[in-house]
Amino acid sequence: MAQPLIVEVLDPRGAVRARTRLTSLPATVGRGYASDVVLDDPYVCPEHLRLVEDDAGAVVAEDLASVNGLRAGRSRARVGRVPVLPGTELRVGRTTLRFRAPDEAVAPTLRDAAADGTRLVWLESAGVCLATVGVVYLLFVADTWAGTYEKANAAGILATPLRFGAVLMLWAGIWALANRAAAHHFNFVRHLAVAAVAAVVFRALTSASEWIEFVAPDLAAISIVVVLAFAALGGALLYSHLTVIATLNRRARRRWAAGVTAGMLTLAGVSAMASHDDFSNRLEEAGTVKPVRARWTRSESTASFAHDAAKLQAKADTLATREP
Amino acid sequence: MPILPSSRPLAPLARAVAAGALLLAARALQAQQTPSTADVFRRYADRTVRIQVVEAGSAAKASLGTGFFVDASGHVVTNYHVVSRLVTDRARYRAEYADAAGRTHALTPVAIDVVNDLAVLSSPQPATAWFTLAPATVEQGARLYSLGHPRDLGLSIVEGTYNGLLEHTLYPKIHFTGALNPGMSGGPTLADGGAVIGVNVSTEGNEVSFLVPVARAIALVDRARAAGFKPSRDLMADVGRQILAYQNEYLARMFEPGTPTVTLGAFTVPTTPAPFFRCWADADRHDNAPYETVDHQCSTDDYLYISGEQSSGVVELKHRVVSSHKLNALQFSSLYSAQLQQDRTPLFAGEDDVTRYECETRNVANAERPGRPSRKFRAQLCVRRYRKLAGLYDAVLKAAALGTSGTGLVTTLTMSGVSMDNVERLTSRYLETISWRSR
Repeated sequence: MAQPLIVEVLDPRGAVRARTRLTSLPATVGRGYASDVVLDDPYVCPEHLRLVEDDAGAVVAEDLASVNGLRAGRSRARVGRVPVLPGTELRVGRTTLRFRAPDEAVAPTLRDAAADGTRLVWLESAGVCLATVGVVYLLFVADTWAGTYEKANAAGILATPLRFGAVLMLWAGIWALANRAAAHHFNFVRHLAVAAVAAVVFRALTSASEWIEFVAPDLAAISIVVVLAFAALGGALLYSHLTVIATLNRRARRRWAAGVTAGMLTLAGVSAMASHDDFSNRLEEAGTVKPVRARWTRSESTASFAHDAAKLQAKADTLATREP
Repeated sequence: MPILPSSRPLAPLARAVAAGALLLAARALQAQQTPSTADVFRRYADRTVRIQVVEAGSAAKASLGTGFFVDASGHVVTNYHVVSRLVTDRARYRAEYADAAGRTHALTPVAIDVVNDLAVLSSPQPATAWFTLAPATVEQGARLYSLGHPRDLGLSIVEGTYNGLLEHTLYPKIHFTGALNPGMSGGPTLADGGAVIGVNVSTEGNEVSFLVPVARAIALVDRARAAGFKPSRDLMADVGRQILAYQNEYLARMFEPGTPTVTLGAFTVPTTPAPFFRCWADADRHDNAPYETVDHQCSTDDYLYISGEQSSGVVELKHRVVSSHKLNALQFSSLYSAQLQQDRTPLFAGEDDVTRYECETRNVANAERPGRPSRKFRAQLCVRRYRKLAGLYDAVLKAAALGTSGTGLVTTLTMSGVSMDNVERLTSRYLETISWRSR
C-alpha cells in the first residue's frame, strides 16, 4: 500500500480508545485474536470486516457476513462494501472506527497554564488542603464560642460552624463540577480549601470593620474602604478557583476575576439605590459594642451630638417632600 | 336626746307625729329632685345626635360617634377622634347625622382641640333642643348619666359615678365609673340636674371610663364663637400648632438637672420625667442564661390621637441593665451588642403619615461635673418627619454605656410629635443626666 493506515477505535463519546497502525493490506478487524485489529465489543463478530486494496489502490472495507453488519458514518443502512478515506467513520457492533492517514495535520499544542508558576503551591498536597480546612473549622468554632452568651452548649458551638461548612461544601462542589468539565479532574479538596480560606478572611474583614466602626463611627470613608476590601476578596476567591482549574493563563484569570467582581459591585450598588427609598418602621442598625477602653474611642460632646440632629432633620425634610 | 319637760303629757306623741310628717315631706321632696334614669333619658335624648362618618365615594360607614347640640343654631360638640378623618383625609370623608324625621344633614368641623380631643361642628339645620354649657362642680360619688350610641345599638343611657379628676395626666380628665362603649364617644355625661359635666372620651373597660371636663368644651365653643363659627381655614395646620404648643409646655422642664433619678446596679438614670408619668420595674434572672437583666421604664397615658394610624405626644423611656459574672469580655460584648440592637420603640405609623427614619450613630461623652466624671456612650439618634404636619418629628435616642466591664446599660428615649428644638434639648439633657460608678 501507498502509505500506512491508522485505525482509531473510538469510545461512545468520541474519544480515542486505541490506535492501530496498519502497514500492509489486506487486514481483518474483529473480536477474534487472529484479527489484525482486535475489538473488545460483544456485538462484533470474531471476523467482522476486512480491509482490502482495490485495483486502483484505494482502500475498501468489506463486511464478512457479520451478525450485526457494517454501517457507514451515521447512516442506519447496512452496507456490504464501502470505500475508506482519511476521516471515514464506520460502525461495527457498538464500536466506531475512524481512519487516518499519517500525513494528516493535528491540532496545535496547548500551553500548560499550570506551568505559569502558580502561587498556590500549598494546594498541591491534598493533606495540606484538608489540614487547612480543619484549621478553618477550629477558627470558626472559636469565633462562635466568643459570640455565645446564652447557656453554653458544647454541641451547639461545635455544630454551628458545620452548618456553614455545608454551604462551603456546596460552593466547592459546584467549582469541582466545573473543574471536571474543563479539565477532567474534580479537585474538590483544593476548591474546598480555597473556599475555607476565603471564609476566614471574610470573617476577619467583617470583624475588623465592626471594631473600626466602633472606635471611629464618625469616619464615613471607612465604609467605602470596607466595601472595596470585600470586593477584592471576592476577586481573589474567583482568581484562586480558576488557578486550581488551571486551564486559563494568568491574564485571562485576572480578567475574569476583575470582570465578575466589578459586575457584582455594580449589582450591589444598583440594588442599594433601589431600596434606598423603602419605607420601614424599623430603626437602623446601631452597630456593635466592643470590649475596648472607652478612652480609646473617638467621641464628641452631647451638645455636638444633639446639634448634628439638624442634618437628620434636613434629610427627613427632603424625604417628606417626595411622594410616599 | 334631752327629754322635754313632762308638764305636757301629750308632747311625746306630737313629736313623733311631727317627726314622721317631716320625714315623709323630705322623702317627697327628694323624689321630686332625683329624676329616675328614665326621666333623664326622656328629657335630654333629643339634644344628642348620632354622628356618622361616611366615605364620600362609597357611602360606606367609616365610624360612628355621638354629639350634642350646644346652641340654637345647631352647633354640635363631639370628640375630635370621632371626626378626625374629616381633618386628616378631608377629600374622602364627610360627616352627617339623622334628625327625628330620618333626614340626614351634613356636619362640618368648625374648630378642634386635639389636646383635649374635642371638636365643634356646624350643621345647616337649627336645633330644637340643646344643652347650655356652664361650669359645674360635682362631689366624689355623685351619680352621673352618660348618653350615647354604644356600638350602634341606638341611643342609650348609662348610669355611673363621678370618681374625681385623674392625676396621671397633663390635662385633667374625669374618672367616670360606668360602662362606656365605642360609639358613645362625644356624647354628654350629665349630673342629676341635667348639667353637662363632661364629654365621653375613652374607656379602659371594666367600667373605667374617662370624660373631658366641660370647662374644656366651653373654652372651645367660646373660641369658635369668637371667630363667628367660621370653619378654620386649615384644620390640619391647627392640629400641628396645637401639638407643638402642647409638647412645648410639657417638655419644657423635662430632664433638667435635678430631675428625679433611680439607681440600677452601678448606673444612675433618670426616672419619672413629670408627675403624670407612671414608672415600673422588672428584674429577670434568666435562669438558663449566664446573665441577668433589670428593666425600668416610664410612660404616660397622655398621648394625642391624630388619626387611626398615628398618635403623638408620646414620651417614653426604657432602661435595661445587663450584668454577667460568667461571660468573658468578648462574649459579654456580643450580648451587649444584641441588647443594643433590640428595637424597643412603640411607635408605629403608616407610610402616608411619616417618612422613614434617618439615623446617626456616634460615641458621645457627657460633661464632667463635680463629683461625677465624664462618661461615654454609644449613641444612636433616629429622626423621622410627619408628612402632613410640618415641623413635627418622631425621634428615638438609643444609648449604651461604654467602659463598664461585666455590666452595661442600654437606654431608649422615645419622643413622638415633637419639634426638632425639643429633640435636641431632650437628647442632650437626657445623656447628661446619666452617670455610673466605675468598677
